[in-house]
Parts: sequence; C-alpha cells; structure tokens
Amino acid sequence: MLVDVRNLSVSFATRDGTVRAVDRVSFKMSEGETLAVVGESGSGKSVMCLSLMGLVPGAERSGEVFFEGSELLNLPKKALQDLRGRRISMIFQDPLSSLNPYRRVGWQIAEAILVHESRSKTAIRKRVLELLGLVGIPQPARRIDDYPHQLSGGMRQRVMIALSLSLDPALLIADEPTTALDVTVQAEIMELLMRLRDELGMALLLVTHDLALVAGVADRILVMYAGRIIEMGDRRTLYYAPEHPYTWGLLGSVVSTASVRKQRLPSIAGQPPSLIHVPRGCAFHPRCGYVMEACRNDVPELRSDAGRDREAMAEHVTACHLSHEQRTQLWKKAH
Amino acid sequence: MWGYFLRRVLWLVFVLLVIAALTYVIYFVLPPENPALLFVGKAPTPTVIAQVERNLGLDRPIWEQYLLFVKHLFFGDRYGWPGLGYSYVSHAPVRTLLGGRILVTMSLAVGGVLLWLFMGVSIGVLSAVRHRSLADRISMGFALFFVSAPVFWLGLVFLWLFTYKLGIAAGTGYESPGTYGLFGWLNHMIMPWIVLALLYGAWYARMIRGSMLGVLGEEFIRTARAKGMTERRLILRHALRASLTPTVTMLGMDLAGLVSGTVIVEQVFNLQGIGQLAIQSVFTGDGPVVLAVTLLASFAVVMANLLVDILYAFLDPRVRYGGTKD
Repeated sequence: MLVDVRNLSVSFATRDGTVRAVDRVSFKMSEGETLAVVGESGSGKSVMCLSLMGLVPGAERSGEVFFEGSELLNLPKKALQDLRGRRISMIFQDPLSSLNPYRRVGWQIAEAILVHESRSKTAIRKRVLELLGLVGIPQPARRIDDYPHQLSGGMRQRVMIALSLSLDPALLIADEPTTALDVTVQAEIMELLMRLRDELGMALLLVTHDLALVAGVADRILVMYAGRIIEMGDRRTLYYAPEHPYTWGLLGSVVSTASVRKQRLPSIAGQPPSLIHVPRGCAFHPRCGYVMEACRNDVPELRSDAGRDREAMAEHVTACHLSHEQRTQLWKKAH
Repeated sequence: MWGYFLRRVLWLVFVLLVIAALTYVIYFVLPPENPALLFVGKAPTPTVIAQVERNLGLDRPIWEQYLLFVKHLFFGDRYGWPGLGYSYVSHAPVRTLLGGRILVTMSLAVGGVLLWLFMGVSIGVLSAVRHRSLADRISMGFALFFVSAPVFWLGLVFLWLFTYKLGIAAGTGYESPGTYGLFGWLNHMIMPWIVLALLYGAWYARMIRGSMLGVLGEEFIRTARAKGMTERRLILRHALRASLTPTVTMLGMDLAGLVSGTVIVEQVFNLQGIGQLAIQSVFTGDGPVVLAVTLLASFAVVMANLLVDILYAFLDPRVRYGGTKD
C-alpha cells in the first residue's frame, strides 16, 4: 500500500471557533493508482492534500498517514523535507502565482533536482531540457531561460508539472491543476497528466470540483463534503450507480451537451455548511431531499453494503442512513 | 534593457538642466536687490561689490548670465570642474570647500548604510520568520523606540554615556585616515555610524518584516516548500528577493538624503561634512556655497532615483521584460 490514511483530522483554531476542515478521513492508495477527490469549495479536499505533505502551517492534525511505510504526521522535519519533491510532489491551482516570478523557469526546475541531488551543471541542464520536452513545451532551449510571466498559462502549468516530476516521485498530488486554465488548455493538461502517469507509473491524487474532468481519468473516486468522505468507489460504480444523494446532485449538475437542452441547470439547493458549525448528524442533511429523523442526529458511518456489484474493482462505501435498497430504487427512478 | 538605461540617463541630464535653471532663477533673478549682495558675505565694501558684479557678469543681459552659469557648471570655470564659483565669505573656491567635506559625509553615509542594512535586514527577516515570538516582539519594541527617538537626543546620549561617563569612545570631531591613520578615523566614526544605524535600521527592520510577512504568504513560497528545501534556503533564495523592492526604494531616498548631509549628526559629532557646511553658509550669507550645496543635493536625489530604477529592473524581471503573454 503506497498511501494509507487513517482517521486524518485537520482543524484550525480561529477567533470565531474551531474550523474542522478535515474530519476523520480514511483512505488508501496503491502504487500507480489514480484517485480523484471531488467536492465543492470548502469541502476540505485541498486542506487534506496539503496536510499530507505538512504544508498547512498552524493546523492541528490528528490521525495517521502512512506513506511507503513511514508515518508522515510525526516525521521529523528533515525527513519530511527529504520526501517532499522527491517521493511526493504537488502541483497547484494557479501556475502564475505558484511559480517564483523572480527566477527563470529553467532555474526553478533545476532547483527541484538540486535540492535533493547534486549534479553537474551540464547534467542538470540536460535533464531540465529533457523534462521540458517531456511535458510538451515546444523549443525547450528557448524557453528554459524565460521568466514565468513570459509564458502562457498552459505552459506555466507544464513547467509546474515538469518540476514536480523531475525526480520521479511515487505520488503526485494535483490540486485543481486545470481550474485556472481555459477549457481547451484544460483538456491538453489532463491528457498530459494521463500520458505521464502511464509512462512514469506514478500514483496520482487528483483534487477537483469538476466530476466530468475525472470521468476518464480516475481509477477510484472519493467524494468529500464538509470535511468528511461521504462516498468512495471505483469510477464505474460511482458514475453508474452512485449511492449518496450528494453525489446524485453533483452528477446532475454536470454541464454537458445533453443538459444544455434543459431549461435550468439543476443544482443542489442550499449552501455548503460552515466548517465551524457543522450541522449535527449528517452534514448534508439540511440540503438533502431524502432527509429522515436519523439524519439530523446521527453521523452516518461509511459502510459498504451487501449486494454490491461483483464487477466493481474496488469496495464502494457510502455514508448515508438510507438503506442500499432505498438508494438503488431512488437512483433507478431518476434514470 | 540598455534602451531603458539610456533613457534614464538622458532623463537625468534633462532634470539636472531644469534644476540648474530653477536654482539660477532663485538666486539670480528673483532677489529684488542686487544679486551680487548674496555672494559677498555680510559686510561688504563697495569695491568688493563692484568686483563681484563684474565677476558674476551682472552687467550682461540675463539670458547671457544664465548660459554662462550653465557653461561653468558643466564645463568648469577658472577654479576647476565643476565650476561652482568663489566664496567671498570663506575666501576660497567653492569647489575646494566642498571637496574635503564630501569625503567626511561619504564616510558617514557609507559606513552608516552598510551597518544599518546589515542590522535592518537581519532583524527584519528574523522577526518575520519568528512571527509573534518573544524575539519578534522585543525587536519590534526596540525598533519602535529608535524610530521615534530624535537624532540629536540619541547622539548626545551616546556621547554622554560612552565618551563622558564610560570613556570608551572617542569624542567629537573627524580624523581623516590620511592624517591620523585608519584607527583614528574608525574610532571617531564608530559612534556616529552606530547612531545612524540604529535610527535608520529601525525603519528598515520594520519595513522588511512587513514585506517579508507578506511574501511568506504567497503561493510560490508554498511551491518552494513542496520541493523539499530547507527553510533557510527558502528564505534566502526565494523570500528575500521578493521582499526587497520596498527596501530598495527607501534606500534610494535615504542615500540621497545622506549625501546631502545629515546635518544633525554632523553637528552633534562635529564632523565637517556637507550638512554642516550648508547650515553655516546660510547663516553667513555665503551664496555660492548655498547654491552649490543645493545643486549637489538635487543631483544626489536624481542619481539615487536612477540607481533605484536600475536596481528595480535588476531585481524584478517583470519590469525588465514587460507584461504577461496571456
């Protein structure tokens, strides 16, 4: 098991109360697997990923995170720094603000290598050019000395990808890598990520709010809401037989050529809850069309239900008080 | 890049010409009485006045006088280059008067700058990195104190404490390294340097702390951390460069001010620098010297601005290469 997250909780103390950004999240990832984490803004997905690498200052973390055998939350600083960039890498949402505007892109990619290994100048330059080519940047020799502001958004994200993959990490965490880009460029970048994943064999943890984006990409999908996992399963079951009312809402709100014909874009009523005052019981109950008495008081556990699809590649779990039969009925009715 | 530089230099020359014109108008054209009187000191005889009038060419038309003035300024007069005239009060060419004093002011300025940059940057960075810690609060407390302390008070306190009471520091006065050797010079400069450093350094510490705190919250810092580098490298190679821009601006203006002479420090420590000269010449009515010091100060400010602009282009590639491609 490459990644084993057990009961990870992340909270922040603020003037207005404790923000529970991540609430007892558990999941596993195998080598080479692509796991998508889907949720609205404020669902805690970004904080969760940043916490894996210890990039959230001021956060209170509990639980355990195992990566390649080591427990990350209590790892000494030096060991953590050794892992970062070398075994686990991360790319972020906005490549313009994520790159250092005062340094050339070649230098920034080279730095990713130099921080962990010492190599000769020629070897580094060669490797940087190789990486630039690998991520599909045309004329790498000309681009290597450019500054970030001289490149377009798509190229900057490619540079970010290049520097994150420079040391062949086992896990790449991509936090909404295409959100800040044009739609056409989005597709290019996703294609690039998939190609690299296949070529290099790394595991990919992809965070997004866009379900459509991960349809062809992820092996498994994890849906988060108010800091909790509310459904997790392989992509086939999640798209064809989702079991949580929130997931139904998410799938229903996907804009596609089919939905354009409808008059109104279906959306989930209400707003995501404040993470300081998480609703009692099931966090989703104020917005759920199928709310019951139990939902208001008891937090539903993540359960996998009997009678699951034998062809499913991974266990499918849901956190909902409705029974499996009820949910299957409701879903079938709508389709 | 070179085009940028060249344009700035041409601008410098243009501004100097305008300043020379304005200064000329103030000293030669505006005074209701005979401008020669400005240049003859406080108790002139009619002969001296007549001679000065002739020397200054006051019998010629105004525009001719101005051109002569500019010509002297840029090409020198009989006393050397730049042509700043003769002081009738001190009985010496202005150039000679300024010459020795510039050295004193520069010693004070350079030493002070180096010391306060070192102090300001290290304290500012440390405070920002250890935000809200005890060290941070104490440093900022001291910084507040020195920002508020009047320079003459601080200078006098230092003199009283270290020279008079403890006897460990040299007193007032300037000892040039040529005549008194390096040790004598250092001995006399160390206290004025420290006073300057404390006063200016406090401003810089506060500013760098603020700037650095802002930078540390930026996303590219998070990317750098994700690469797995040590915090030390993060600060030195990423955060520091980004924090320096406001510092550079401030340094430019402070340098300009220093070159014109830190009058109060020079008075308190009795250093014969430009500042002291400026004050003296105003009180004695020594026109040419006042004029020369004004020009010098203006020149320093313009040069400092040019320097700051060049440094900006060097520090921030976005200035150098224009806007984004998106």
